[in-house]
Amino acid sequence: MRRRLLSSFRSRMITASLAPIILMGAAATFNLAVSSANLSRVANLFSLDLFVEEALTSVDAVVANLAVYIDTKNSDALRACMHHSKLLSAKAGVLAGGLSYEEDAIIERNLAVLLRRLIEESEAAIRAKRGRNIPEYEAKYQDVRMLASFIRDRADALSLERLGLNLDAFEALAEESGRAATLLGAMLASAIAFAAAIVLSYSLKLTEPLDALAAAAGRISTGDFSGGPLAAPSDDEIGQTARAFNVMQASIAAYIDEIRNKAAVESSLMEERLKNLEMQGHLRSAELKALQSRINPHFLFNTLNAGIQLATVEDADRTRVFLERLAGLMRYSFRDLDAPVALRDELACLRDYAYLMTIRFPESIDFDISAEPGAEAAALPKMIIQPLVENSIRHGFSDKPLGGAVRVRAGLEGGDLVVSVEDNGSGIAPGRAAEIVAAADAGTELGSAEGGLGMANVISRLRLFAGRRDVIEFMDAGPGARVVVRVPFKEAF
Amino acid sequence: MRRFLKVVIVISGVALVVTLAASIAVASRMRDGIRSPDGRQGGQALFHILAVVPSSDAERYYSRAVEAMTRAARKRDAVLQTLEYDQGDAPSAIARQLRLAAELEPDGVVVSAPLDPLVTEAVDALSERGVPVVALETDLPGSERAAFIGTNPYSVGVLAAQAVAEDFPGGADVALVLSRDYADGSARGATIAAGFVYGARDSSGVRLAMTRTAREGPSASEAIVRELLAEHASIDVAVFIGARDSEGAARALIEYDRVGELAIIGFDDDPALLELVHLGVVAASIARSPERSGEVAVEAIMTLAKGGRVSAYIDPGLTVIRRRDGER
Repeated sequence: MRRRLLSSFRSRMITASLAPIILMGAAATFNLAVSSANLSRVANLFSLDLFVEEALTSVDAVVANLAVYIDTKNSDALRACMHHSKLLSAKAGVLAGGLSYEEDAIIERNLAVLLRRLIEESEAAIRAKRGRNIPEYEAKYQDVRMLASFIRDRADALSLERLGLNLDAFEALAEESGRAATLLGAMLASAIAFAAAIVLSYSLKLTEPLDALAAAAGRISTGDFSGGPLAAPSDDEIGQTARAFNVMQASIAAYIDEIRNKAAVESSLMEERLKNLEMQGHLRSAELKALQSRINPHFLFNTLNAGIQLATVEDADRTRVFLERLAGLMRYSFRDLDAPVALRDELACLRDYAYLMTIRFPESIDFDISAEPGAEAAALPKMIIQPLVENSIRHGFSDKPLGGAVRVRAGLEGGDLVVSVEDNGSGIAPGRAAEIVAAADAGTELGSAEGGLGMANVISRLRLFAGRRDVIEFMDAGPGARVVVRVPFKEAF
Repeated sequence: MRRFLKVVIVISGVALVVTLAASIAVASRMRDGIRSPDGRQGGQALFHILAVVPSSDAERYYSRAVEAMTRAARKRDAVLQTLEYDQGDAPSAIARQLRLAAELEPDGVVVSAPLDPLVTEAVDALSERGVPVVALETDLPGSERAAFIGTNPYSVGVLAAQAVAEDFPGGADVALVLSRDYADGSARGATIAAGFVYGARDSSGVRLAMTRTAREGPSASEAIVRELLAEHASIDVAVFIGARDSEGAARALIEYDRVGELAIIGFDDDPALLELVHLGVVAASIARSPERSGEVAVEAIMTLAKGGRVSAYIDPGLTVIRRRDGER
């Protein structure tokens, strides 16, 4: 608490402002006290002069009244003489000091001795007068007169000595007074400069942090937290305000960061949700299209099974195999489109499709389907490779009835599953690949996709599965076309 | 700005403290400058000695003697008070000072006054009151003074003759000029002359040709110098027994541009005379020692005040000052 009080800006400012005032006050008080003491001493010197002057008056009165008494034996003169003798006795008592080395003190002692002698001799003269001893009282009266003249001489000497002392004192006083006035002026100027500098310094100390505080508050109000914390080295009110401001700034920044993070998370969730919705949309679209192609599947499977049994009964093995492969292909195509499948299943479906196409167009197309070890376990969306092969057959070999070849290769490359479908057909028309990708980007489907899933749909599903855009590449195989699918390797369940 | 303000604060703060301290010091000095009777310094003396002496300029004989007596008294727990008279004062005025001294009940009195019945009577009155009196430099034969501390006039004459003989090995005619202090009715002047004659007895050709006494007044020595130069060309050396007369004679020689035509033997070692010795205007000076005289006088008074005894004649001694590096 005490430390707080001392470090308080207010108390420091008050102390700094009061310090020169107190110093000057002390100096002024000291000067006043010394001046008063000096005045008192000077007055004392004058009072001593008055004291001696009164003594001289009494001496004259003793001499005069003694003369009157000796001449006339006047009682009033005697009473006056005795009265002044008494006064002189008292004054002699005051003047009689020890034997000092100071000249004025020695003369005062001289005066005391002479006054005492004057009183003794005047009393002796009075006694002689009463005893009618004329020579005695005449001699004593002369002694009194001589002593009175000695007293006057000594009083003059004392006055001269004191005048000298007073002159010395006055000279010292005059000299030192001038010096004191100069010093007082210098002290005043110093105190004014000191106080002004202190007040200015403290006002700067006060306003500069406040300016910084105001600037920081303005910056923060615009959302700019780049200024960093305010400097708060002192423990005064300003320092405490700055520290509190820094805490507030940090709290606001943290709060805003938290809100941003939440917004980012929510945005990410929304994006995820949108992706899911888009995926679901594509799936629904694929399913719709698949459903459109399904004509009473139970009836179809029953019919195909009946055909298989018939072929078995009639020993028509090729027909039976044909129907079995067709039924497998159809069963695979009717599976749920939402769940990814293993590449081996996709390739099995493709092999069924290739067998059927070989039966339909004997010696027209040669299929070569293979996968590297480990690649068949990779997951990928269902019905991806078959549409690519179907497109090769439909568009690549439309004007090539014989000698067609389709080669499908699957492998792992840099953490990706890479499946390439290559044919030796007529290749992809210029601009067609870009149209396909643009349709996929726009979420639309190109025409001539009847009887199968469209390429744009394939690309969109691949993108959703891979979580990136570069999932397919169309290349010229010279002759023919080559389509490469590249998705991250994920092992299928 | 902050830096400038810091500099201003430091400088003005230091100036404030310095001026404050100086103000306090000045105020203290002002306070000390006015001494109050209650604030007398120096303690208390046990003995009170009075010195009745002629007034003297600073650095002159009696001034230096009083200073020496003051110091010597202080060393012995005594205070010395001077009652001065002017050189030209009548004996009655001096006697009055002595009567005043008697009334002041001192423990002893040092007196230097011309021999006069009034003075002698006042000294006797002091002695009757039991106050020991010591005569300084001028003896008061026939009085009740307890001792005389001063220059032996015979020795002054002897030393003067020896100084002349040293400067004039071939011989010289000498004029002896006594100061008015020695025209006091005592035989001191004659004793000096006798001493000179005695001192010159072994020197070939050093002869006391004439004696003079400088009259009262500021131009006495100048008048004598003028007389010697104009009317007594055979005089080679003038021996002045008096500091002021010696200086006056030397300055007259300078003024007349006759330095070297008349050699001067001076008296005492006042600064002005010493300068003239060093300039070569004054050949030599027979110097008393006021410091030694003052110290011996106080010592004698203190011994007497304490009931002791001292020698009736005490000679503090003389020296001869020459130009050669102030040799004595």
